[in-house]
Amino acid sequence: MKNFMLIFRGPDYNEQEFTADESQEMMGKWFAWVDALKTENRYVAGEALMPTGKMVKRNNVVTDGPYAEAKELVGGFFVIRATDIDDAVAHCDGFPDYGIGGTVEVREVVVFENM
Amino acid sequence: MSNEPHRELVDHLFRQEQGKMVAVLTRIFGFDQLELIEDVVQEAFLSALRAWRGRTPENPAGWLMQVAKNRAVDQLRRGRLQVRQAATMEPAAFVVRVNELFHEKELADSQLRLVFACCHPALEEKDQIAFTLQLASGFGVKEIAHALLTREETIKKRLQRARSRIKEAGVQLIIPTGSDLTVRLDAVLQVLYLTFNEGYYSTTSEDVIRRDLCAEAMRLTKLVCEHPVTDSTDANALLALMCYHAARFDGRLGPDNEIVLLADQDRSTWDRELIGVAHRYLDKSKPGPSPSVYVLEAAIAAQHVIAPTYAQTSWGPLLKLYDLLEKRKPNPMVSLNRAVVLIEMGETIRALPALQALDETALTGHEHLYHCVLAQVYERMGDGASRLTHLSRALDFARGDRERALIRRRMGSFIG
Repeated sequence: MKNFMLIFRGPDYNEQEFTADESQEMMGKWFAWVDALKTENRYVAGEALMPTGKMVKRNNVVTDGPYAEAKELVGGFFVIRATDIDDAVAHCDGFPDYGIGGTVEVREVVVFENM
Repeated sequence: MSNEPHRELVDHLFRQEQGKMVAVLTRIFGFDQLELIEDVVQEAFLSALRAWRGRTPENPAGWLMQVAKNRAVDQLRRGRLQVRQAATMEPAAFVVRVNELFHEKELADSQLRLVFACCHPALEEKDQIAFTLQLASGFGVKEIAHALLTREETIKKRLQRARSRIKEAGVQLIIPTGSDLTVRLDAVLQVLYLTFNEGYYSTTSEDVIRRDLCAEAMRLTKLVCEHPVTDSTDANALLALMCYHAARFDGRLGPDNEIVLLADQDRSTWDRELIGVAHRYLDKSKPGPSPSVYVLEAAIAAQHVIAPTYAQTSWGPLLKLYDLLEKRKPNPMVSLNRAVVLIEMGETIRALPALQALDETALTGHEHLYHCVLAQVYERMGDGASRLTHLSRALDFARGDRERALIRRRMGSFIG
């Protein structure tokens, strides 16, 4: 088993104007996905990110950011265990944000000892 | 990492918490800052959506409330939200007061104030219903439109109109007292009664949303019954009526979602526990010598559920109740129901003139029932020709296959 990072991109929930019930339904989908990953002992870690932050450049030039299109904000990430990249991709079915234009980027985590 | 137990939130937790948070925050900051408060509540949900992905809090409802409270205090510091009556209050005292209002005991009071405001006489009845569902029940525009079988645009207009009327009239979040209480409480109960009926009698919308409507109407009516100021005969009788009906929710729809008439309902499907609750509220209503419409309707519903079979219904007491109800609420549907009771008592001689006195055109949407009942009278009288005439009239008026099938099955009674 290797570790893969799933990077979530998509519009911020702020713009979705969910009703209370829709928010809860969305949450239910996240719960279901996380629970499914945990049941299979695939879930390693995960965090959600606040929608705004800072961009730091050379010479410590700091600006508000990120600059990416609001539709492509990184909203959070998971690290999961999978046999290979195809297996990791197969475990992205439960991602709840496809319906609002979200995407998942799947990247293998480098293991230092193997380099 | 160890597996967490399966995390499921209470059905409609967010919806219910939204109603509570709006109730508490409007009470603190005033009804005129409703839009800002709704933003605060929305932000609390967004925070939850972001933060709960990996970990769910022990007490999700408390977590949401805490975030809403923090956000509100934050907005207060930034000067976006204003506190009027707290001008003379020390900041520390204000925080204490805010904490008090978030306490469970005060929550019911705050929600009730909100319901009174949503049902304010400055608003039209239809607007009151939509506004109550939005603010006190946390329904979205889509859900209200769906539940009330109305277009979203129409609901939006009703809500906008309600909001501007509330502002114009300077509606306060209070539980009315004195003579004002009677009038305002009547309006609240009427809105809850109509909301329940919308969920109970509409057969075209989805089952799930109809149950939600009924459940919300019952939850809010319970709030009214449990508050010392509004705990009244009518409130308790209305809640009893809702419980009697809700107890038959499963029994009145067949496998294909078709209406099963009272006479044909499988009484073992009725919710005995809920019937018990209904009995207790009816008991608690302690009606006086001249019972109100809610008391009479609850008593009629009670007569039906206590009968072991349809044939064993106590028609005599039922007729007395219908006589009173007809006086209290002259309405062709009530008269039609009363005529059915007369037929069941074998009093076709009395039923016929009562039915003939009814104006068919006043029974819009129920004309087929009227002709079915007339057909039944003629059947009992052995007048086959008149019976067929009215059955075919009934078929003319029937809308959809379901009603036509129902007529063809020859209705014993039409009480749904």
